[in-house]
Amino acid sequence: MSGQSEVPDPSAHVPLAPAALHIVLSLNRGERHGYAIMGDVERLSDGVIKLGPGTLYGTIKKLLAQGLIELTETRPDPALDDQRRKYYRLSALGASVCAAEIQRLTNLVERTRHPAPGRLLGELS
Amino acid sequence: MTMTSARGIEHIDRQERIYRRLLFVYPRSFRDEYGDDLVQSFRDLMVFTADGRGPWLRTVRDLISSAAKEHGAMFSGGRKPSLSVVFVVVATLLAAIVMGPGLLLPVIMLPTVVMLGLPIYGIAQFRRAWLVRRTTAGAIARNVTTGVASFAPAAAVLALLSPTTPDTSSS
Repeated sequence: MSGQSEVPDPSAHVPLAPAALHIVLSLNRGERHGYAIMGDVERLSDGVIKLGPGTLYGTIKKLLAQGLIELTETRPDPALDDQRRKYYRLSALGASVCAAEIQRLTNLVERTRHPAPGRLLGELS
Repeated sequence: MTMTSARGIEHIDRQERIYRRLLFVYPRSFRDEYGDDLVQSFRDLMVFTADGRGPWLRTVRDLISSAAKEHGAMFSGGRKPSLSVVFVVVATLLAAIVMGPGLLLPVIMLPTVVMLGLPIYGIAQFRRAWLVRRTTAGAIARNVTTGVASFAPAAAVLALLSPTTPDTSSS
């Protein structure tokens, strides 16, 4: 067995459930704590998805178990924020799953907008 | 707009204590691992949301759905969920199917929790007190106290509903 085979396959995690997808997309923009993720998901989805604390941490628990996200050692400046806050970031696997999801969704949108064969991808207007 | 005045902070502290008590609906392992994070996020919601009712509406909906999911995850993980919570969730869902979701909160859920869910939770606490009887007196006392307290709302409702004075004037 080569070392290459130990790299987890991102396609095994795709597609993600909506809450997990939005959390991964939020963390793709940088490290965040729980409430920052909630706010980011709400903004990203134009208010369609409003995570509550239970759904947020239930999903975070799953994503941690799957190795898609990880806790950071980052602690905020005590003068600026509560030091008890936990910050999360995407793992290397999480970043490739995120890229795979973005590609999958992009393809989906492109195929929906350009159903006729022979048209160029990206020809939207 | 945020609530940052002294009265606002006091109000948020009170809401936070209520939310922390409601966390009993989650499995113990989830509560132990994420309880403080859940409370912190709830507090942030209260602080940064202008509409006072908004966070609670979101939180109650989330509490019901995510507690059911966490207990479901425990089932699939082969661990035993809390009997009382399973009972409340199943009874509430059955009631919602029979009577319609519009009546769920005021008519069905509260009486179900007060009259059935909490007493069963109390029995579970007595059982836990029995199981931990050889550990610490503090743990036993805590479980017995919680058990007794769980029966209090149901007892109060029964006391209110019972006739005040028996009719002894029969001829």
